[in-house]
Parts: sequence; structure tokens; C-alpha cells
Amino acid sequence: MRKTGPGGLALLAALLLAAPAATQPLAEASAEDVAHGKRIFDIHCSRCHGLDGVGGEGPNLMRENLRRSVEDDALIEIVDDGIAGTDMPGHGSLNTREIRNVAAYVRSLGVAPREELPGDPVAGKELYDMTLCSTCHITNGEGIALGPDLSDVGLLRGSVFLKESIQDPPKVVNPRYRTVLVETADSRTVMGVRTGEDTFTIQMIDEAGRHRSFRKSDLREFQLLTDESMMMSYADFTDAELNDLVAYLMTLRGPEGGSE
Amino acid sequence: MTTRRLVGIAILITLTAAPALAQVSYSRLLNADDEADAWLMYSGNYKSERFSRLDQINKENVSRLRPAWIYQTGTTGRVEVTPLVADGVMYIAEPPSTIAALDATTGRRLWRYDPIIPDETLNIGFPRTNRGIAILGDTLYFGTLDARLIALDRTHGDVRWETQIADNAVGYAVTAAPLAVDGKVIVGISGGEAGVRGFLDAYDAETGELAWRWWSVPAEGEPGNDTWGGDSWKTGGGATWLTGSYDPDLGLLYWPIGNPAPDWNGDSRPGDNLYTDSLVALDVNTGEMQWYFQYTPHDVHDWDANQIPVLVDAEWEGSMRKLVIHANRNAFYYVLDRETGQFLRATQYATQTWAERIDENGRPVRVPNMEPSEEGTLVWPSLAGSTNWYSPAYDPGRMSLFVPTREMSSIYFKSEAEYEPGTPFLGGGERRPDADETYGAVRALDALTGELKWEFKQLTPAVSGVMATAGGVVFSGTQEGNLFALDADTGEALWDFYVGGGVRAAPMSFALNGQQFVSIAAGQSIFTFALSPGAEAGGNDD
Ligand code: HEC
Ligand code: HEC
Repeated sequence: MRKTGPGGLALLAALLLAAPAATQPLAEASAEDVAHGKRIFDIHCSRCHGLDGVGGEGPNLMRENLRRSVEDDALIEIVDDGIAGTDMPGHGSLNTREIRNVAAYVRSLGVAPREELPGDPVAGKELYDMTLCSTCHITNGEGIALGPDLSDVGLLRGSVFLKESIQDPPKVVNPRYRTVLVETADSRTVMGVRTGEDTFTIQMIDEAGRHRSFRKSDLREFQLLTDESMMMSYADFTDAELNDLVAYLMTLRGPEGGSE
Repeated sequence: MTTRRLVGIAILITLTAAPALAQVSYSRLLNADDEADAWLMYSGNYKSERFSRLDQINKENVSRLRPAWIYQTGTTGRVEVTPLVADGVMYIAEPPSTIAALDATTGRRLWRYDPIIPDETLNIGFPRTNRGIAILGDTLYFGTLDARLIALDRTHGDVRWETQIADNAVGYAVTAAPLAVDGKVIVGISGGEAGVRGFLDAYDAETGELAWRWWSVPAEGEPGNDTWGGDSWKTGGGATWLTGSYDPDLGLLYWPIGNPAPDWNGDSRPGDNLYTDSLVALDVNTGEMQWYFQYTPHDVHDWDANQIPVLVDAEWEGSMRKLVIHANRNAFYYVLDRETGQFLRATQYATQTWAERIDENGRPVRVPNMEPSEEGTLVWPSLAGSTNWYSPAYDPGRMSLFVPTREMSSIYFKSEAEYEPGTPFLGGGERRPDADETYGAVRALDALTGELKWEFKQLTPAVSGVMATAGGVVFSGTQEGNLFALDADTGEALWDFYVGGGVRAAPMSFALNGQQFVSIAAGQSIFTFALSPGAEAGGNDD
């Protein structure tokens, strides 16, 4: 079996091809396993994915096709290791059985009925363009990246979370989008979004979208705005306007329009 | 033909006539402080001060520090070694367990020895790396990820002997630098997160034969075994994964001991779990334990004691005492008598929420309900502790201990733990709380009182060791990739340099032909700095 001739490769290929059908191990989970999984979900996952997985800071998991976790093995791996470069964390504190059971619970969630949103997505899109949201956000390749790319935000976030993000930006600002205010030695103030920082220097994109870099010891003042995000100025939308914006944002589901 | 023969003879003559590299005798190791140009052991001397007696680089000129050379290992793993320098040659370890000799003047490689670590070698709970080497005579000693101890001839890197010290298949490994003493090599093991039973070994430096083994978890019938429930001692952890210190006058080794296993679920191991989370004093000739002091009895947060113990002789309440000082992972700084193990003082040096105080015997009085739980329990400090294996530095003149510090909390979870050989044996873990209020610092503590003299804040919790120097300059690094120099009296930053990779090692210093160098491993490289000749230009470094 250690031999790696063409025969071995063919065998390997056959094994790989056969794998998907052979590995849906979560189907064998017992009702007890799933109940145990729900307990773990409530503690470790619901703060992002919402109770019962309806979505929030993390995507709705009550969908037919989870984009990244069609296979059970992929699902287990995501829960275990997280998704690099996203807010989905690994769960090193859970043991193998706990991870399997919480994954089995995710599989058992089924499909949520399509959410009825009160707003009008067409009016929402107009508002989005009018209010120049794209001076800070990219949708489908257009705009400036001072804030997160919104191209598939409708898949990644729940509607309640989106509404809150606009109306009442989170108290704990995502460290990837911290707002920085500096005053240089010659008394110029520059505001922007932090793109890099170490103990001695800071890098940012300023309001004009330009890259800037400073030594902290050269600055007269240097401030990370902790409880304010760039979104602060949108608190005064009417409820109807907010609903329209959210309805529009929920249609943003990536290049292929995503899959429900 | 003739020419060839002549050349051959000439080479032969050169080889036999060339003075072999000077011997690094035991007496050179004993008197390492008198040989400031060299760096002969992991922490610089047997007291583990990590204090260079060189003073060419000082507070006034350190801003002129520039790279002298950079050596790239070409590996992808983490380089975490403290280099050794003896007689113009630098010895380093590359991940996972490769040894290289460099010309210390230029950084050019002289030879490299790769013991070939099989891919399937386990590293449960630590990176695939090697933190250092010991030198004695003309031999280098180092451990491997697959738990071998190897002796290399230091001129060419040829193997003198090799000993398998434990079985990697159940999780044993060596990442720490061995400690060479008179005729013996002391080496500790990693693997506590796999539920190995810890030990410390001494090998005959000439032959590689085992001289003694001291088990860190007592077996049935031995004193201390009753601090473990049932058979839990067999998988009790207590790894010895960081180099200890040595007092040649007392003939005692001071070795810090790792956490009990499983880490976060203590149900199966009721009791204090001796000698985990302890400092032990062992007779260097026999391995017999003279005393122990346990910092964190029945630990359920993975706050092992694998931090460097520093030996200090100082006046204590009116008379000279032989002390050992230890900034522990559990957020307290300890002063002990190193002859008897008597507890003298504990001072909190970082934020903690688990202990109300340390009582007069050195035992923590615990805050209730701080154990990991199924729903999660918020506790300071975090799993990685208030400090960790990153070396502190001790300045004997200022009597300051410079401690790399972490200000961070964790939500600790508990889950079932089932022992299966060669797999993680943890019983839980941590999650970072959402609010991002973590930071790091170098803290200067008064060695006798543990009081804070100053701190230098870092953006992120410390992961780098510290070195102090007779020039009044303290060196350390950051996770983000900065190397920096501080004023030993005030903590003011005097110099910094971005190396482009996390600094997860400790600095050292040496001199060649009258020039002082500072070296540190960062990212995948070794960086070596010296003062730029530009003299008075000085001032800011950019
Ligand atoms: C800190 C917030 C957070 C927590 C806690 C969290 N998640 Fe996630 N999760 C996310 C985000 C954000 C994503 C989307 C990542 C992406 O694709 O960009 C995600 C994605 C996923 C996906 C992939 C969905 C797909 O479309 O394939 C699964 C499955 C998942 N999470 C399950 C879990 C489970 C199970 C837990 C608990 C054990 C959990 N998550 C905990 C934030 C979180
Ligand atoms: C001045 C720059 C700026 C403008 C203009 C702006 N945003 Fe934002 N937005 C941000 C930043 C920065 C964040 C990230 C805040 C955080 O994570 O804490 C953000 C976050 C968001 C989020 C949350 C996204 C997620 O996945 O977490 C949504 C939704 C959003 N913005 C919508 C809008 C809409 C709609 C508009 C126009 C009405 C708008 N933004 C205008 C900077 C801006």
C-alpha cells in the first residue's frame, strides 16, 4: 500500500471520488447527540448565529445549502478550526465529540421559511446610492473600502444585525475597522480607518482613501476611537428608511446571488 | 599527481595543526560572567540572569543600532532559539530540530545538522521548534521534537552520540535547551497537553548514558502520590519544558514544573497534584529532590510554572540570603530561600481575579467559582498567563527583574477529558472575551519587594523574552514584529526596529574584536545588530 505507482494514484482518485457519498457521518447522530449539540450551540454559537441559528453577526444557518459546509467533514472542520480571515472562530475548547454533536445540531436545523422583510429593496438601493454609502463600502467591486465589503452581506448577516449596524453601530467596534484620529507635530489632524498598527507605528486609510503611515512618537496626539464607528452619523434614518436599506442589503448575496 | 599529493598533505597538515576550537570547559561555564564576549548557555549564566556584562551599547548610543547581518533559516516554522556564541562562532537551532553554526562576524553558515524529524512526529500543545542548545567541551547538546538527545562535535557538526530519551508516540518531545553542568547534560521534556508523565533527566556528557531520572509526578508508594486521585498520576503531566537554573555551591538545580493534565478539568485528579506548577530543587549528582514549592495547587487553568527562576544573593531582613525569584504565570511574583525552599514573599504584578491573596505559607487563597465551566468562566489572567516561558532579565546592579507581561483575560471552558495516548488530553479550553482590552508590557519589578518600578506598554500581550545589559539598556520584542531597547532606569523607549515577523524568542549579546552585538530570533531569521560607525549623528533612528 506504500507503493506510489500509477496504480496507487488511481486507487487514491477512486477513494477521493467515493469520499462524498461515504462521509456524511453526521447522519448517524442520535437524538441525544443532537440535544447535546444544541446545548453547546446555545453557549458557544448563538451569540453570533442567533438562537436556533437564525443569523445575526454570523450567517443564518437554517439554509438548505451552507456555502462552505456542504460536506459533513467540511462542516466539522469549520466548527473546529474556524474560517481564516473571517469572524468565524475556531473552537479549540471543544472536544471531538462536542464538535460532532454541535455540527449534527447545525445539520438538524432545517430550512427557515423565507424571511418577510417590511422594507422595499428598490427604495433601499436608491437610498444607498443617495447617501453615498459607497464612499466607505464596496458592493460588487464598486466603492471605497473604508468599511467592510457588503457584496454578500445578505448571506453573512441577519437582518436584525444589519438594522442595528446602521442605526446603532456596535459598541465594540470590529478591530479591523477601528477609527483613528491623529494630530501631527505641525498640528494637522487626520482621521481614517486603521489598516495596521504595532507598538511604535500606525497605518491608516484617510477620509480621501489615501494610505498614511505615522510613527506614534512623532505625533502630538493619537487616538483610537473606541466607542464610535464611522457609522455614527446614520442614527437619524426613519424606521421606514432603515427597513428599505435592510431589505436592499439582504439582497446582496455575492456574485452568483448566493443560494438559499 | 604530485601537485595533488602535495595539496593533500598540505590540507592534512592544516587540519591537524589548526587549533581545534577552544574547549568550553565547565570552569568557563561557571565563570560565564567573566567572559562577557561569549554567550555560553541559554539564559547567559547559571543564575539565569540574561544580563550581558557588555556596556559598549548604552543609553546614549543605542539609537545608532543597525543590522550587522541577517541569517535566514529558509524554514517555515517559528525560530524561537536563543543563540550561543563561543570563540567567534554562533550556534542556533532552526525549526523543527536542526542545528547550524554561523560565523558570528558575518552570519554566514559554517555547517548545518538536520536530525531528520519524521512528518508524523507529534507536537501536542507547543510549536514544532527548538529553543536552544547547551555547550560543554567541544560538544553541543540539543534535544529533538521526536525526543532524542544528540551530542554534536562543534567544529563540524558530526554526531558524537544520540539517545532516545522518551517515546514521541505518546506525546513526549524536547523543545527546551539542555543545561550542561560538570560532566552532565540536564534535559527536560514537553508533552503535558498529551498527558505524559513528566520527568527531568541527566545524561553523562561523554557517553550519553542516563545518570539519573527524576519523575515530576510521584508514583504509587512515593511521597506526594496521595495528592492525585486513583491512577490520574500516570497521565498527570508536569512537563519540564523550560531550562532551569543551577547553584554550583549548593549543588542544586532549580527546575520549574509544568501543569497537571488534563489541563482544564481537574475532576479526575483530586488533590494538589504534586509536583506540578512547582519549583523543585534537585541534587545535581543524584537527582534527589531537596525541596519543592508549589505555586498553584490543583491547577485548572494551565498556569504551569515553566518560567525562568533567577538566582539572586541579597540582603533579606538584615542578613545575606541565597534567594530564587520567579515571576509566575499565575500573576504573582515570588521570592523564596533557595537553600530551604522557604516562602518569603509573593506580590501581584499583573491583573488577576482568581486568588484573594497568597497566605503566609505561599498558598493561594482562592476566589470561589473561578474554575472553568461548561458555560464558560471569565478569569484573569488568560490561558497563556501573566507571563510565560519568555525569559525575564535580571539587572544585579539595579536589582530589577524585567518581566515580559500579558494583560489579558479568558473565558475558560470545561469539557470531558478522556485519555488516549498520543492525543490532546485537555478537558476544555479558552475563548477570548469580545471586548478588546488586552495589551502587553515589559514591567520592571523590584527584586526584593516585587513592586513595580516602571512599565513599557506594548500594543499586544508579550511573547518575547527580555535581556538587560551593563549599558543600562533593556532589549525585547513584540508579537507585531518590533525589536526595541528601553532605558533600564525609566522604561523609556530608546530605539526600535521592525523585523517583519513576530518576535517569539529572547535577545542575547556578544562581542567580537571589540565590537558589541545584539542578536535575536524573529520570524524565520536571526537578526544581529551593532552600532553604526556614523558616531555623533545619533538621535532618532529614522
Ligand atoms: C464570533 C462570532 C461567531 C461565533 C461565536 C460562531 N460563528 Fe460560525 N460564523 C461566523 C461568521 C461571521 C461566519 C461567516 C464566515 C464567512 O463565510 O465569511 C460563520 C460561518 C459559519 C459556518 C459556515 C456557514 C456556511 O455558509 O457554510 C458554520 C457552519 C458555522 N459558522 C457554525 C458555527 C458553529 C457551530 C458555532 C459554535 C460552535 C459558530 N459558528 C460560532 C461567526 C461566528
Ligand atoms: C464614513 C464611512 C462609512 C460610511 C459613509 C458608511 N459606512 Fe457602513 N460601515 C463603516 C465602517 C467603518 C463599518 C464597520 C464598523 C464595525 O465593524 O464596527 C461599517 C459597517 C457597516 C455595516 C455592517 C457590516 C457588517 O458586515 O458588519 C453595514 C450593514 C453598513 N456599514 C451599512 C452602511 C450603509 C447602508 C451606509 C449608507 C447609509 C453606510 N454603511 C455608510 C463605514 C461607513
